[in-house]
Amino acid sequence: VNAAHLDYETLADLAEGILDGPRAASANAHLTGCATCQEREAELTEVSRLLAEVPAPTVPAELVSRIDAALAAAVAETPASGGARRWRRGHVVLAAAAAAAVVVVGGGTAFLQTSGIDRQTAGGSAEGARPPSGVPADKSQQPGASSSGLTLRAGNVTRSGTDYRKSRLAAQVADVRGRALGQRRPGGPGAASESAPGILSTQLAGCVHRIGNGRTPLLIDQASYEGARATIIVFPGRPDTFDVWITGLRCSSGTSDVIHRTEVSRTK
Amino acid sequence: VTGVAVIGTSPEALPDDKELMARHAKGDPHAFAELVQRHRDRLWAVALRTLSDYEEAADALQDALLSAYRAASRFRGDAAVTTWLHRIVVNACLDRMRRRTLRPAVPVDDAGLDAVAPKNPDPTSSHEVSLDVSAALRELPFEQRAALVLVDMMGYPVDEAARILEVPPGTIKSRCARGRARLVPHLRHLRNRRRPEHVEPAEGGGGSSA
Repeated sequence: VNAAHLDYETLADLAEGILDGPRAASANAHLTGCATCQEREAELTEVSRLLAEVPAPTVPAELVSRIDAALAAAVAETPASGGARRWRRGHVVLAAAAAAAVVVVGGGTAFLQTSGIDRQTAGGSAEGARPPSGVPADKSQQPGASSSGLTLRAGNVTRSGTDYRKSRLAAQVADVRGRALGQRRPGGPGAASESAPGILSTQLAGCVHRIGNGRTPLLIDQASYEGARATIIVFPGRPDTFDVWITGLRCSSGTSDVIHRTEVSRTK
Repeated sequence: VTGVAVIGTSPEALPDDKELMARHAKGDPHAFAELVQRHRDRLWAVALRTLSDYEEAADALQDALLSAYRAASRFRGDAAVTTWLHRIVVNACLDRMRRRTLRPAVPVDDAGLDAVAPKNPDPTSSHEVSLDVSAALRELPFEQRAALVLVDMMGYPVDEAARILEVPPGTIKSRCARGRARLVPHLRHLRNRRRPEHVEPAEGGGGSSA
């Protein structure tokens, strides 16, 4: 039996079972008869116990928002071919690749000016989450690049650029809807390839389904309301009205985020 | 005859991590956010404990999640998503550490301390233990610290820590052993202080229990 005491490293290695055979045997032989080394062994065990006892932290709320914003900015930099371009909180701005979960509505929005879309995109959300300055996020995607065309089915998603006002809602809805209808007429030469399609993200689809309770919308316009970004969703109302919902950017299958709802008369 | 062999997959069943990664790769804007939300507390714990500095850890976690976001489309299914995320966080911490050696150690202010050692109902004990552990961990080389954070603090199996840090399990054991040995003198006072609490008899032993 070795009379020399075991140092902490040897004891720790012993406990982990990583001492080789002869050294382990020798250490064990010493340990059995040595109170000092048993005490040291207990101290080592206590270290692990103390470490395990430290309560786990949770991510502070401010860090959660900071990371959300950073991810949103990264999303804005993502090249068009890499997936979808979105703004804060994952709202899809322009779809790029043919993602299975995304319905691209092409051909209906040729009246939109390309620059108008760029402005909208670059302006980001009213919440101030923008691509980092100096990053020409909008150059990474040419408008219309995604119009490889999936389905034209779940209603029309428009980006009219309209700033809807409560006082003028009826006229504005009628106007945008009229323009969308006018552009959607089949056979318009080259309409699909020239337009920048609006897209119906899974989130927006969930939102529309939630607030419409399954009804098919007449119009979905990702625009603004009283100066703040909003989605205007119009369902058929009574025979002479539109059922107009104005939702914020968080609207999804799980939350409504309704800013305003009203029925307006169908002006003609 | 086969009994209840079929367990229907409910449409409401939560997608697992790999499913979320697949959706992310396909462009689902919510998949990665969901993944982050699922694991951020543990990832944050790893970063904070490895770096013992609120700002550094916050930067590291942010860096890591951005890297993960960008690399997600290249993720291969041969590792668990959590393993992969942890690895990215630890590497981001290591990057921060290397940069930190270029500047003097920053004393942790009160806010930082609160983050390192969150408030809890037993401030006289656990809170101080947290602070002391955090300070003691700083005495260790990064590799030993990372191993101990994963194994002793987070409770991950050695094999999982080995996968995260991409070293053999024996290396993890060795780093943990060395780390524990080095921590003994830094944490000894906690043991001495705590001992009476545990030994103290419940019945009045007469003595000086005023």
